[in-house]
Amino acid sequence: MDNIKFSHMTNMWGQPKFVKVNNFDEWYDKDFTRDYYYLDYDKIIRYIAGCGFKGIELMWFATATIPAMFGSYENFTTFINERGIEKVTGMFCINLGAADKRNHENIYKSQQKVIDALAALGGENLIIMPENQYYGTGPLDDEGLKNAAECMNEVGRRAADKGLDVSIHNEFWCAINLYDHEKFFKMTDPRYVKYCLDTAQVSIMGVDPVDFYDKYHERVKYFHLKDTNKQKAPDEERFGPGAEFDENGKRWFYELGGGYVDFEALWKLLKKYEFKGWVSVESDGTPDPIASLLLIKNYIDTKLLPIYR
Amino acid sequence: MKRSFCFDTVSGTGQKWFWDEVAEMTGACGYESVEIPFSAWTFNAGRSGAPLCAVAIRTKFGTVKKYEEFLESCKIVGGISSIYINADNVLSTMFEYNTEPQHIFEKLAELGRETVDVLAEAGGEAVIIDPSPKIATLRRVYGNMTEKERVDWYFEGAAKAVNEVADYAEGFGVKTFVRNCFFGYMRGNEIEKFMALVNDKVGFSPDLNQLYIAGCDAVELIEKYAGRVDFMKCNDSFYKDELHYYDSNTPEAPAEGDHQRVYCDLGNGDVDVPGAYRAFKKAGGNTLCLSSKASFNYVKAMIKMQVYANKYLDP
Repeated sequence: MDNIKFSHMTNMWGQPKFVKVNNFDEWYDKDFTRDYYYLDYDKIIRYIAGCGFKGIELMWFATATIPAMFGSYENFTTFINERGIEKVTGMFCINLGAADKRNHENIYKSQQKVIDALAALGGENLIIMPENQYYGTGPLDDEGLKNAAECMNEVGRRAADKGLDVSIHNEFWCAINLYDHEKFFKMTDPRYVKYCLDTAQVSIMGVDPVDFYDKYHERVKYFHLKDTNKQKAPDEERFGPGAEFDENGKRWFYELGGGYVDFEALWKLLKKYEFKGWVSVESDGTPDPIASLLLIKNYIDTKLLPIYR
Repeated sequence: MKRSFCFDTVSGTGQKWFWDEVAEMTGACGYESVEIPFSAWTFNAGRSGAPLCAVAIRTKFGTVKKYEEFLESCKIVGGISSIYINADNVLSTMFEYNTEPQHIFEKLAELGRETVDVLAEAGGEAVIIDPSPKIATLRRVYGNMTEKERVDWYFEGAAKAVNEVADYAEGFGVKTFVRNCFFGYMRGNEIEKFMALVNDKVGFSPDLNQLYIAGCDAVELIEKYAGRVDFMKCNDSFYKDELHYYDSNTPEAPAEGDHQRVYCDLGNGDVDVPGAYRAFKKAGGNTLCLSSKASFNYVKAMIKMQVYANKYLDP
């Protein structure tokens, strides 16, 4: 029995509008494009399962769209099971405005909906960006960090009530950034707050993900694997407005093996620390989701699983 | 007759370079202005380089005026001619931010005023409001009334909000129009009841594929509102709502059957756009808003819509 199972984030497919599209002709006739293949959950889930992934992750706005499209979270779970996906493993969301205590009640209200949705889906991990983008918000003072930590702890406690984990997910453009992310992390309660290590995001921020995992492996329970060739991006790039949407089209994230993150070294540590659980992979910003899916899975199969599975 | 390119034709990345290119190509294709569908105050809309909300425009260009100057530098001589906002987007944004749903009219008017401010700074002409969320959403969220009570309450509240926006807009020389989708309370000919509640400052902006899907005669409506009609949205569809999906949770993405494609590129469907155009011209309309919503190939659609207009509308 393998120690690691792989999940894939669904955000790079956008928000599919259909459960299942039935008639190829009405989408192909007169347009003659391939868009028919990218319109519905039916095909997207089958692509992910067809590549050998066993889990999927969702974004927080799925809490509105899934019940509207499928009738219930349970129906969605049945739908993905039928197509070869075992479970929704996690959901990503943001504690927007957490540095200001006045926003906390509203954040708890929003996050409770996400917690309830993820629990209904049979998920495990609520992955949370701890604050807004750096532009217009950062840097946070000590009180801001403390408030953001308190908020994370409370959301974590509520998630634990439903049998879920909460994990911090740093982003290279987040208000909590290179100079205070570890301070923030240490302010959070390890009983309720784990860490989801996004290998590309922290690399771009200026942190070596392999060293980070070595140092904090006891709290790093989840991963978002993606690669980058833009390690240690300068502050002015990370702190600019809408930094993730680079004005000149710069691509931040790549398939595993497409950049310089040392995944093989990371995998040796997973083996050393006997990691067990779900590892999620992402393809943010890819111009071709299917190509990325296949390349990633091939990399996992040929480079990583021989080290530890 | 002026031709405006609707940004709802374009699906793409949120990066600024992409939308800058869209603007450059729009100018090169000869469109005189653009119509922008505004998203209300969401996190992702605000941080991206897509000019689809006030915050995004001001963040990436500094001011609305600078964005307008950029459009003019792309040979879009009229810049932003109109901005479209809709109550369905307002209500879903309210859910995202946990705003109590009874504030829908207040929030619709607030987005209207914010949009007027952008138009005023840009020298734009019109704010276009679709005043109704999806029927299914209204029934679910405001379920504590009978259908008649809900319809009456919604019409009255939305009319008041639109009138407030129109009064505010008048002070800046901006006009106000309403446009109706096929899946809202004001669908098809129901818009006439709404037009009777709003003041004379509010005009009607026909959205042709929405009227077609709702089974209503666009020419009749255009003739009825002669003198008060402008910014006609020229778009297309071959969709027949045979299973009455208009009041479902996903009216624009029917779940069942072999006919799920609600929109298509202009010229590929069955809407009598030339007939509507003739009526629109007679009724005093000035601006055509050309749209192929969520086209699979927006560059081709951008060019083909001009070809269509040259052949069938303004030969």
